Amino acid sequence: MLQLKQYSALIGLLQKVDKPVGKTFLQKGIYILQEGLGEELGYDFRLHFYGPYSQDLANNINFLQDLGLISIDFDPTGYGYQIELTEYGTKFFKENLEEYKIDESKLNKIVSIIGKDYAREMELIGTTLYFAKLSNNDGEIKEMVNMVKPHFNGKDIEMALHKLREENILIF
Amino acid sequence: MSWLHIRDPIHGFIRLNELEREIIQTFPFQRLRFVHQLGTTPWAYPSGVHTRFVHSLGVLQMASLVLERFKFVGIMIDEEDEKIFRIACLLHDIGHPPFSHVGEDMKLFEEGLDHEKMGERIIKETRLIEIINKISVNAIDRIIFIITGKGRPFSKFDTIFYFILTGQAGIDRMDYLLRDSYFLGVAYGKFDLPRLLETLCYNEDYNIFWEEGGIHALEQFILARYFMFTEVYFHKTRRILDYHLSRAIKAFLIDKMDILLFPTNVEDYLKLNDNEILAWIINQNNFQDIFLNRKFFKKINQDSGDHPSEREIVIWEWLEDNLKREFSGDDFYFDRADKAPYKFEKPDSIQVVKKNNISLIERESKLVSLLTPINKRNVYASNDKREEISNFVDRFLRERRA
Repeated sequence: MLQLKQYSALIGLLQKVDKPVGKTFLQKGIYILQEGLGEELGYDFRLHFYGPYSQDLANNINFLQDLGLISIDFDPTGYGYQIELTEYGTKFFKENLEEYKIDESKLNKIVSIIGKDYAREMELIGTTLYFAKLSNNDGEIKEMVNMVKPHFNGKDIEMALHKLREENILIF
Repeated sequence: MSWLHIRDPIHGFIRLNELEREIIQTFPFQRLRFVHQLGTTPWAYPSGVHTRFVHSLGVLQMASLVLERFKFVGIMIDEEDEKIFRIACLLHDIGHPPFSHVGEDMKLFEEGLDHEKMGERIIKETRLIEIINKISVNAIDRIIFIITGKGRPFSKFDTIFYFILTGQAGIDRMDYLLRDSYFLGVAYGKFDLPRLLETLCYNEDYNIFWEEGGIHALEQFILARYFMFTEVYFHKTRRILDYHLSRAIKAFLIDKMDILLFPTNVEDYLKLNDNEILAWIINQNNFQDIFLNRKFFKKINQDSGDHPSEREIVIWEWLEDNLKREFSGDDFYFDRADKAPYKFEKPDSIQVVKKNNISLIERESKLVSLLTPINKRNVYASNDKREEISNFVDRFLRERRA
């Protein structure tokens, strides 16, 4: 069932990172999982200010909170949120979602790319991948990313492309 | 440039330039006169008979107000950007099928299609493309991006326009809340529009945000939407009639077009509108009873409430499975508000600046932070089986809750 796979992906990602993360991490992580690593989760991503974003995914995050599987608190030090898997979430995952488990190597790749939890970097990686799906020309990708995100320069974008290639998420 | 001024109960006057006049004179846009904004809601609120046509004009006027505000705070938007944004607003609902959201809610589209995708095709495959191409070579792609957030933007303003049009505090929502309230004769959807516009800001670091002085107006706006969902959009009569209507539309499509779902080609799709389907429905004995004699399924007494607990959600999921095993699908309908394509979500992407720091409305407003999505579940049953189903649900819920 697609919905259970969606929940499993979110919980699996939180389990893998093993520290509180923000909503941006989950949005970009699931975007990479679906659009970069080919895991069909049925989300419809659109380009928001901070990169690709899915409203259904945002709703699922809130739903998992309602079910008590994850906890969401405001980040005391800044702008966003701190999201963690609860004990009940870990137990639930083990007992009910085992068969929907996402390939560990894919989750590891996501953590390796955006696991440092720098919102700025996640925004850059997510947006670069979004445009790399529209063009396979580095110059054009750079131009598009830079147009919607003028605070990233050519070097930043090259670095993002390099990271995506290193993990075989981009193969051109 | 000569302007056309159209009277409007919400905005006073709506101003259209020559290009926009050309657009509203096309067949795809005129068709919106025959697509009701709120589907079957007039069966619950009889005066709610306004259409996608007037709402689209209303969103165009909202675009004018936002552009005025941007100019006032010194944001440089050139003439082409302005034209493109205004037309995107005017055309944002061009792909709606008859009765608006019923088609998506009840899965009447072929796999992979929805009103947005049909809108994109209508723009690209009708005379609209010729009119829009007069602006620039990229105008079509920019308009589609601003409406859908998909594809590629061609200017930094495209992502801003997309957010302003469709965002959680976007002008589409602003217009429909005020307009729906006005036409239905309810006060739930009203809010302080001038204050919201007066505190709207943009800069390159924060993108779109509201000044601190707009926080209460945002709270009012978010609550207005919440109340409209609980009192109007999820009204029991509307929800069940959407279900019956979807069955009527399917029967209509088979009878008149020999297809099971909405046509996928633009020419046939544009032939469909509310009037044509309603005229057919009132001549069919079985649907006559439902839509003229009000013999539709009725909600049983038990429901989950707007915000069921996690435990209740699980119990209601079981209930649906058990109802399916026990009764025929022709005798009941299990409605889940959270599965509707058009729903009340947590308002978590509206930015405000408080004491010179960027923040989120959910964080700065205790009221907003307490709002949760509506997850209501209801069961509707046919007259013959209502008592039996109600007793079954009652017994099931008592046992499971215990």
